[in-house]
Amino acid sequence: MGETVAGIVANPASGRDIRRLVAQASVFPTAEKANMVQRLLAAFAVTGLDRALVSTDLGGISAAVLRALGRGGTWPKVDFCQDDPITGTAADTTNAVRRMVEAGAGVIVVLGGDGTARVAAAACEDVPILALSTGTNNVFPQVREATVAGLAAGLIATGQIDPDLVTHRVSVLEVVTKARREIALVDVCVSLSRHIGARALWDPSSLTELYCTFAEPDGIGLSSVPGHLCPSPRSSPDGVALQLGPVGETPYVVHAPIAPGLVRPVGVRGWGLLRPGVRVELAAAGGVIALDGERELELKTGESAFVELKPDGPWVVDVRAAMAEAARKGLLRTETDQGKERRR
Amino acid sequence: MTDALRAAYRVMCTIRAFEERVHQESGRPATGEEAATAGVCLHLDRRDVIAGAHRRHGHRIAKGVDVRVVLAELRGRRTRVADGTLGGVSLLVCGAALAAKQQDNGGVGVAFLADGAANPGTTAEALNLACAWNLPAIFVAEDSGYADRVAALGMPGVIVDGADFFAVYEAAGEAIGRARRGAGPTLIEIAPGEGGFERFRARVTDSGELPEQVLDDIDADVAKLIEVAAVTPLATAPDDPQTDLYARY
Repeated sequence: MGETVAGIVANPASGRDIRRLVAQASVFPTAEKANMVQRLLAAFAVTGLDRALVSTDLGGISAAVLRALGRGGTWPKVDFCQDDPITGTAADTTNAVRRMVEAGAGVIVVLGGDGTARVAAAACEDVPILALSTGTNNVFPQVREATVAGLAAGLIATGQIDPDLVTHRVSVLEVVTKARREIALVDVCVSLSRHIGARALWDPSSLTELYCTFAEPDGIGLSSVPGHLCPSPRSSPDGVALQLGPVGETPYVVHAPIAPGLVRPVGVRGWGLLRPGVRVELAAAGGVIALDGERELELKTGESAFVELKPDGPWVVDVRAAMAEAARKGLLRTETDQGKERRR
Repeated sequence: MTDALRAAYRVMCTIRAFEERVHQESGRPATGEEAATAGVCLHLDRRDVIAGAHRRHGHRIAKGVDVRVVLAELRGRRTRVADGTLGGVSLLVCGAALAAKQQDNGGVGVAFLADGAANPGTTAEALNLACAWNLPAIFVAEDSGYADRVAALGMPGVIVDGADFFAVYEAAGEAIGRARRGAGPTLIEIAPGEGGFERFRARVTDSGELPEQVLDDIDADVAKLIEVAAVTPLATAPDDPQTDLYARY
């Protein structure tokens, strides 16, 4: 095996959108994001990883990591993605992930919320991603200690754990409009609002259609709506499709945690299974399409769009399975002479 | 909404035309900030007070100050907007917000903080004061990192794309609404972005909300307004450079 590489992408803007005004969404401080990167690097070093490729940003995360690098420490070789100009937009995540794929990363760790993970997932090709939560709505990223996640990622990237055993491929929802093709990891929702505006969705009365890759009753965000009507586990190849409407006009109402701090009644007209590979035309002609809770695509009046559940989404690291495999193989333990003595 | 969009376009267009026209007299033009400025100021009315950095004429224009008066200040005339006062923006706005709170008139104070305001102690003081007194104050910061810093004070901080009128308009609407309801201050960090004016134009014409002709008419109208203002001799006398050099108590 040649040089072993892992990537770390950290979004400086995650956890900073309007949901801090319209709800009580948490703020994930930049300093803590930088600390998480350092905890990942410390864990990478233990696994013997050769090189870590870290994204750059103007929010102060990469700057803090660079300063820490100057203070010394047991880290693998750290390189920063600095070949692309920093735009302060989602393109920074896309560019960094592409560089990591090109550099032969075995795993890419993504720090952000659902939005960041979605952007990374669209660019990571067959490289497994490990998304850690530092965002607002975190259905897809895991709330996990970065040190443990770093061990799992490092053991996979260095080939000590077979990725086939501890990663799985998730389904995505592909949305196709006249001009664009985008994916969502959790949900696609159509809203009657005209503009993308501040992106986040927090007014359920404007929603007309919802498609989810999975639906769990303990989820946060729109996928919790079907979670309370027609739950569908992440392991199921099928998704769910719902028709929504204003409360008062629908046969069902779900009191759903649509965003942190916001439990709102959502009117549901009906639902059904969403089979993989079936292209569904969105009923709404016009409006805005939100991907994983963020308004992303504006439809012109009369413009049609399609959504399809695709089984070939990104490969995702199962940290629990990876660490169980590490334990089974004894990768993080050694037996000293004392131990051998005792066994005798 | 169409009327609001038309008003928004007129404001952005006026700022742009003004900046371009007076560029020769005033140094660097603040073009590129029209969308963010309009997105905030269109929520304001007579109860509200703004303060901004110098050379940012757009804030005043967007708040509704006559371009001739903005020009008079720029040229050091006696007819001026803020008595030539510069600096201390965030604390001044806290004062205005405190006044609005005590008068209970629903008014808010909006401070536009340029990058030079990032580190003076007065900025930190003002942010702290606004939190401690739960003032109806909104801090609009052009520099990055603020949204993070104010979190420790308990002030919500959000980041919006400064080149997206609709994003700023929506965030500012929520922030100002909160302040008017007595829910306290907010910081809006404006992520730098280019082409907000052009993006707005393309968006509203593409969506069919405003026809090109309407926008062209506004362009022509504004161009005439700025030209007349710029070439008309100012009635008021030039100011004595010593006036307001020091604060009067």
